[in-house]
Amino acid sequence: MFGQDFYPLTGTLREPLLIIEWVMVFLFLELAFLLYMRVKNRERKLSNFIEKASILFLLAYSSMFVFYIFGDYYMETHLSRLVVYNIGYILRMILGLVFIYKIEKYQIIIGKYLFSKIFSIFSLISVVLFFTAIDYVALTILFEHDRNKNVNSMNHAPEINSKNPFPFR
Amino acid sequence: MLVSLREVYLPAMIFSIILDFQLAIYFLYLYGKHRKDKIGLNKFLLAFSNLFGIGATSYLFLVIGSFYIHDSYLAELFIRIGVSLLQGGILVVLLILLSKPFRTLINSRVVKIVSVLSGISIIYLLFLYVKPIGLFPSMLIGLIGGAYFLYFQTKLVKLTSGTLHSRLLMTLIGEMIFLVGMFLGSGLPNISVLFEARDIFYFIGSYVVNLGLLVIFYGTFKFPGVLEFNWKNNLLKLYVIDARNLYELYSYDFNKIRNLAGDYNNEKNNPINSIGVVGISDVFDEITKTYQNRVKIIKYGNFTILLEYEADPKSQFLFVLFVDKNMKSLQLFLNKVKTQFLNSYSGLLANFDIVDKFRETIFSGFDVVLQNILD
Repeated sequence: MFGQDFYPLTGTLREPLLIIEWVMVFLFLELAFLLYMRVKNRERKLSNFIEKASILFLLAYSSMFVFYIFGDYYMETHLSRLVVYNIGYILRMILGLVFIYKIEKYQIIIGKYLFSKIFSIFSLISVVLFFTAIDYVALTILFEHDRNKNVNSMNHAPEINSKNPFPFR
Repeated sequence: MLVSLREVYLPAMIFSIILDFQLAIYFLYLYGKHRKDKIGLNKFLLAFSNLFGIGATSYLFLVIGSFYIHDSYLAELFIRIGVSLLQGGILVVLLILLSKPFRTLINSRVVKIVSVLSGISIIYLLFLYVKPIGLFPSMLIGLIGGAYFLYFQTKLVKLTSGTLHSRLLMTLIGEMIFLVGMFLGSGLPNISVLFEARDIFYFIGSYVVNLGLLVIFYGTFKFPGVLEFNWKNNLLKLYVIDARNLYELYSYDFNKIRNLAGDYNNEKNNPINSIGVVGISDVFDEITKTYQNRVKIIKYGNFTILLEYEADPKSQFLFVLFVDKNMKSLQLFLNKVKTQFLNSYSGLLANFDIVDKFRETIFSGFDVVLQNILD
């Protein structure tokens, strides 16, 4: 029914989907703005710290969504899409880390900065995986490119003469 | 990768419609919240709610008509409905301005004329539309109506002070930014010379509109509500009295601030002292034999005494305000004072000995709280 191509998304649904995703980004930003107005003049309480940290969380999600949008709608190749997507993920992870750190700074949960430490280890692993994935995809693309080149060269190779199977000799 | 501008400004336009509806609901909520104060000036919140609600619907029609409908007749119909809705929004605002509380602020003849013209314009747009004349007269009438509403708000800003003044000013600035955005986004692209660059104007305009709406949100967040004009000039003296032990806990002379400000030089001496008020209140309670409808207003000569009690009928604390003239805003002010005082000192007030010894020191800090309430 809908003529639709994936990555970059094109066709009938491109514009409605794009609008919905942008509106989600704006709504996250608006919510962050409203929370900021709520807590800006308040005294130091845990609930306020959580709200202040939530502002970062919402900003993280909105910035990640921006990268998603660019990845899904504007990136032409798999590699570029992967890079843009992962920048979004890393940005969200960094701001998520700040969110956990801000809460733990005010109140110790189980151990001092325990969750921040766990989260930073996972973030580090994700960063390593991100670069590995890029390398892997780049190599795969390179390999595919080489293989296609070889196949093309085989297709354009002179026909083998049954009488003379080794013409170059 | 090439980003089409349409894909960037259309989401912003849709978002401003959502933001408009949010503002309409928020203003309606604020109006409902302040309605029980029975201060008519708060009706301007209702006016805002209508303007944003109907304005958002109009904007929706304009966006659909301009960007999604390719049939020229249908597109024109949508645009006409959009403009007539906008005109309707302005008409509703003008009709609200004609109500009693705003009569001193507006020129009712001008408002009536513009309202009638707006009504005619709506009928023209919906039923008698003539293509050669187009939308220009309706736009012009809408512009006059909108400009008058802005003028009214400027007057309101000038007449208020403190937090309310800054909030109203912020809202007004937001509206100005919004209008600039609307002009950039829908006015300039229609000029034939600039038609080629219309996408850039839509783009800039849509984001400026959103910025204006956010500033309005910022200005009206936790809006304190409008009180009657010059209510502060009627304040004379405030007393907080421990009615059980018969002594003054706290007192504040408002003439002091006015003397410092230099706009009030008449020192008014109240012939009744604060403890005397307790006696009067007790006499009334004895006569009426009820604690549910306790006396709250005592008229005495040239001034009025307002009383406020705790929720508990056997309450110990009495809040007394001497005023020149009784106003609803002053009663609200005394009620706020009561809430703030009990919130700040409820723990301490239970211990009579400490309060008795350090009365001066303990309650001197309330001056700042009082100043905040006054602001």
